[in-house]
Amino acid sequence: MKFADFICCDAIRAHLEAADKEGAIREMVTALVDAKRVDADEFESIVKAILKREELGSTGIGRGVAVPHTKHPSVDRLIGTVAVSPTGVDFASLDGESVHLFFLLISPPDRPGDHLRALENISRQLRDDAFCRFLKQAKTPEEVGQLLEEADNHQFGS
Amino acid sequence: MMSESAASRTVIVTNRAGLHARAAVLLAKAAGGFDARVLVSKGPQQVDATDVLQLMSLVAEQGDSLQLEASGPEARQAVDALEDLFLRKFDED
Repeated sequence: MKFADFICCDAIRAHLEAADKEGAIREMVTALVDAKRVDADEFESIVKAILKREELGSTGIGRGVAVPHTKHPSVDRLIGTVAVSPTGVDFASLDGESVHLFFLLISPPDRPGDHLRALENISRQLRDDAFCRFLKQAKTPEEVGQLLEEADNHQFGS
Repeated sequence: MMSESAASRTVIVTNRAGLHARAAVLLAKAAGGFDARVLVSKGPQQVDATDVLQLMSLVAEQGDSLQLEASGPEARQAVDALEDLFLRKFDED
């Protein structure tokens, strides 16, 4: 699976303003609503579902990265967005460090395999330090989109 | 002299979501808590159990069989603890 298969380019954000977990999640889901990828009526329900999953344990996976996600019946295929927080968000991560890079995923309830394959793609690409660093330094959504495209075209690491 | 011990075990992924981000974080946290080096493999792919990114790159789905291999003074305890997480379905479902 490639980033292009699930990342909605017009919902990428390079400057998250929130400093806390809930605020950051709200900004990212808002971006998906603005990009017309999720229905505005489903906004609160999706945000609540993502926060509820976070309560079971943070999706802050270390290295300044988090992958908040949920299953939700309002989507018929896996969708996601990427956001960069220049100041960092306290996400109760594995390594205690604040999060600068987010991959938010929403998948249909009965497609756990797609979710895993998206995570595989994200984790494989992030193992390349240069890719991870460039993404965190990206200043515009276009720059983020370009980096994802380069990763899809195997221009980073393995 | 303290002898290096080793332990291994086969576990099955039983939670519906598979080894997704949160499950990988729980596994990595648990693996890091022991004086042992723990490897997880799925078929020919073998990764460090303390590395979340490597764990997620396994794409371990429900029903998949994984091999845990540990070495070091607390190898057995580490394998026991990790197996327990799989048996508890990472407290999901």
